[in-house]
Amino acid sequence: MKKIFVLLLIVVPVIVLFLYGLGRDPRILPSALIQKPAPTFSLLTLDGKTMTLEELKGKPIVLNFWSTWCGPCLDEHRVIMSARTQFPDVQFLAVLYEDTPENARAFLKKFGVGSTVLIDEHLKTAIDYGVAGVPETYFIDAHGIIADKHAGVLTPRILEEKLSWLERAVDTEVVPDLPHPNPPLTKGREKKMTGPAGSVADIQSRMEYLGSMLRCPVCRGVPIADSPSEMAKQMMGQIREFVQSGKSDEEILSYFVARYGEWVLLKPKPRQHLLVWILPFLFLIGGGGILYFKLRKERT
Amino acid sequence: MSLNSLLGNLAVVFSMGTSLIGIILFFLARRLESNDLLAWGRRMVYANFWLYLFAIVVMLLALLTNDFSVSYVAHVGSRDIPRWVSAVSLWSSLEGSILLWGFVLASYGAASLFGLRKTASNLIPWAGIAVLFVQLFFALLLALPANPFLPVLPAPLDGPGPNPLLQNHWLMTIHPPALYLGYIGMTIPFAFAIAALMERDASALWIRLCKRPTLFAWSFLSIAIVLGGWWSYEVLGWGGYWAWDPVENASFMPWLSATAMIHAFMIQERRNSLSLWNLVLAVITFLLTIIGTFLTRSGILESVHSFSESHIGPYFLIFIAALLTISILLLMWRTPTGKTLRSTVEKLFSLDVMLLINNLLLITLCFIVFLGTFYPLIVELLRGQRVSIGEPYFDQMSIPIFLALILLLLVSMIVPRNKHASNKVMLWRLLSTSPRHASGFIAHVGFLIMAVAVAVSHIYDREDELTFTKGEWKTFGGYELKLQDIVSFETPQRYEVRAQMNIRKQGKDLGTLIPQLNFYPNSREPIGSPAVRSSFVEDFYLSPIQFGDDGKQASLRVMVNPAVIWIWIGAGLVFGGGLMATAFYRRKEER
Repeated sequence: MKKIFVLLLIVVPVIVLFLYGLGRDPRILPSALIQKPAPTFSLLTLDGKTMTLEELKGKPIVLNFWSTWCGPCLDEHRVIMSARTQFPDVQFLAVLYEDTPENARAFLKKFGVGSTVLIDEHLKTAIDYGVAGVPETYFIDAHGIIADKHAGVLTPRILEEKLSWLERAVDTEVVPDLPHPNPPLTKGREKKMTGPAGSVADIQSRMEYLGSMLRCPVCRGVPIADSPSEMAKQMMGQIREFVQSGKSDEEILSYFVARYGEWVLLKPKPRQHLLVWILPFLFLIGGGGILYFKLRKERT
Repeated sequence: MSLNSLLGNLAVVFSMGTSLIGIILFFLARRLESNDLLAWGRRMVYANFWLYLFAIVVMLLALLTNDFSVSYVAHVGSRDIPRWVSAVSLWSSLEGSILLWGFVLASYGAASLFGLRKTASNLIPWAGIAVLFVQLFFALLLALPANPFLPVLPAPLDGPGPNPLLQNHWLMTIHPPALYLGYIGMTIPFAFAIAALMERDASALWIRLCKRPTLFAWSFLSIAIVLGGWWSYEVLGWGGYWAWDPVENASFMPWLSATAMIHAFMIQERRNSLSLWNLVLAVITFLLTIIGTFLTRSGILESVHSFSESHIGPYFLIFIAALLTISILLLMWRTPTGKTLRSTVEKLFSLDVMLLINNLLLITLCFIVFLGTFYPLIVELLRGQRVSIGEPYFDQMSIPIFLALILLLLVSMIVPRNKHASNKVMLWRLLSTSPRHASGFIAHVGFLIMAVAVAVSHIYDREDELTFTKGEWKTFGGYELKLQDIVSFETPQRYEVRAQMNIRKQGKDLGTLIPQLNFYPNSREPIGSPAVRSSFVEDFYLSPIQFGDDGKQASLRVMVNPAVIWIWIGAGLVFGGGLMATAFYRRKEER
């Protein structure tokens, strides 16, 4: 009986774990920003006008990240084009990702106008929204809260589903009372300085450290300090700005965690993940103990 | 159905038959104590080898002759690729890899039993059953979810060609087969461990019967892991060779437990103790190879190694459950009880104690890698939260253990071998005694060289991003380099932009390095190929970032990585030492 119990104790967890692993797609990352206030932005349109999140509030927003070089984005573009007439109260915006305004103009000329295209220099807005690739779409309600996110191509059905939900949410006119865990870093927060931010060598070494702690959301295998992807490069640029403006390491890391989730940290926080830090020691001590007592027994 | 499809499928189906019959024959041979039946069981194992050899030849001919009516050829073949690429594309995709797996396993089985054809032991039929059981599973994969011989009607006129990574570098063509030789060979110690459990044999007999294939497989597993790292270093352009990626960990875990095992084998052979522990290690090592294959091929964890989607996951899951259940049941219910000669440890400062500590450290490290690899999945299952565990965690946890292992190795080099020859220490034995002793010494020196080289290359590497304008000289890390020219080439598969960099050091011309960016259709971001100049002191590593549109500017990541070449040299010594130990190992009755 005891032996059967031991058997089940080992086999069942392993199989449950692997079965769970098989039933899901590891590449799908839930957004850390859902039910959180949408990060503010102020971006130029292709005509040179400035658009900010503040002035768009009041109506739901579909914020789409796209590029002309992404094949499926064309399908999505067509879906959005037809949805615009269907949902006149929704504001469709498309942030250009790793692409040039010239390409976007040519694209719109060829395929027709869908969303209002916004130019995102240095991927700042993409990073602010925790984008990992294109296409990705955020659904922001009339109060500026991110209601949902979809990674991958929008089909008419998905779009319709999410939008009718968004529109209903407007009707209720309940202002959600949400905590504000990630206030914009530029204001309000007490700044902690770690050493003189001015010295070049110091900035370099802090960038290297922070870059080695964050996982590249595009290639996913290596830290952003090593990743050759454009996104990782721009994230390093963002880190440089933060360091130069005097942010502490912790503030910078939590900026990325607020956008990409705990997933972005290559080293889990000991406070929430005590087991993964302690179990190896228990294993070593336990094994050493067994070895010691066996040897002592054998010698006597 | 074309002839090739038919022949391939027949070979697989026949091998299922021979495996099943073989299992029955071995069982009866043990029950009836019949040598004739045993000989026939052995013949079934040999028949398996010939059938898989035949299947492999059929597949190779189909690949070489562009027979696109065979599904695997239609999937990876192409008329445009060199013939040698056609041949090696046997292991460029899942179905071909499983076919190769079946062949390698059949070869290991046949070679092991052939080597023991004059040995009479009750362990052999059980080991035969275990090998054929595993063989049956892979035949099942080949017949159903990973069938490479499916007929394609109508046959396409051309195929897309194999994964481009395979053609990129010669290292990628030899890394997979080397890894298979390592992984699959671990079936043999597992089979003999199962045999020892069935017979409740606590002696070191099973170890002596499987030691040669085990050492052979261990050597290949060692070199395969390093070849993978070397490839990553030469091709991927991030300047590193190991990233603690789940797929890398999948190959490292069985290596750690196998390394613990070949050391623990020594204790049992010397002192006839530790019998249960060795059985556990053999089981764990084999399970880790199967779990590792499951992990890489089912895509349950996120990894840079993008293998194609496949449906073999559920099959592997059932196989893992079966293996785990059988092994644990046998370990609990058929714990060896035979007579063991317990020689006690005389001194704490002895080789035996060193070997025990070595095992403790290696298995702890194996546990850390396992925990770190699967912890994100566990957290997601229990808390629905996505977390990552990467380099910073693994580095922090493993470096102290590696240091302890190195210290242990250095100490054990001066520890007396046994009480009778207390003045003979390992260092001196090398000069005086047999190649068998020298082989261990060579492998350990190789390991030490690797360890030092890894440490040096990590601590003293220098890196910067430099932008060059055509004709301009810049200096970095004692090197002077100039952008000579940027030229582009168009090949059928891609568009290449190459930066020709002139390199000088202290006025001495070191020639030209050509980092390049490769543009593929349907992919905006180009894939860079670094250029490396290796020397015995340091590597000069150029990785392209961006080339100006005007063809006059190039941004490069410039790195100086010291001592990296010694990692590969050290690994070569480990490999050579392992093979030497395989070649010169003699069982007691052979000596």
